[in-house]
Amino acid sequence: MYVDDIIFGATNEKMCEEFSNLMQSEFEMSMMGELRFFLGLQIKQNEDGIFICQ
Amino acid sequence: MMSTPMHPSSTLDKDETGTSISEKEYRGMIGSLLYLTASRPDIVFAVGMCARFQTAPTESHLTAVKRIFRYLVSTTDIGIWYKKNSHFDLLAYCDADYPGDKVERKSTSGACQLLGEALVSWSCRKQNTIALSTAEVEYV
Repeated sequence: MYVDDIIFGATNEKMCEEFSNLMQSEFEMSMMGELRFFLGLQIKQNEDGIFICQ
Repeated sequence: MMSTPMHPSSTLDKDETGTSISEKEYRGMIGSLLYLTASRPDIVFAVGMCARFQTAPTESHLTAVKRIFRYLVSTTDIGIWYKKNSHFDLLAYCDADYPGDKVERKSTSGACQLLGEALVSWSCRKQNTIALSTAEVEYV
């Protein structure tokens, strides 16, 4: 089975890491790191929140 | 410089006597603008209005589309802001125009939903039926 892109998030960074490890051990995939760009949308994440623009 | 994406009073119509322009190019512009509405709720109504004339577009429709582009040029820093530690109260707004469009006599509904200070969903749709009163137009 082939799945294209996936993005995930959590309020707890540890949970994000845990899920990432679980996914990578189960599927052949590459982790692109922190979300910055997705389907043409620019995502800026900082201490105050998340800003989405194009 | 444009401060709004659409002229506040003049409305678009079929403009059957107007000079026709390339349908392919017009569709391309509408397509790009529709994709942009994913992060720009401020242009949803204007783009949706121009999108109604994708068959047989004329100069007047193109002028309206160009106005959206001019508005975008002067407002490139707008986007969706999800603030950290914001509260989580659900808040929704909706409204409709009446009378709406001059061709079909159908009104347009607009709505947006917020979770705390975060805008999570928005819509702008031409109503399916012709509302016959200002009361009906709000709840169909």
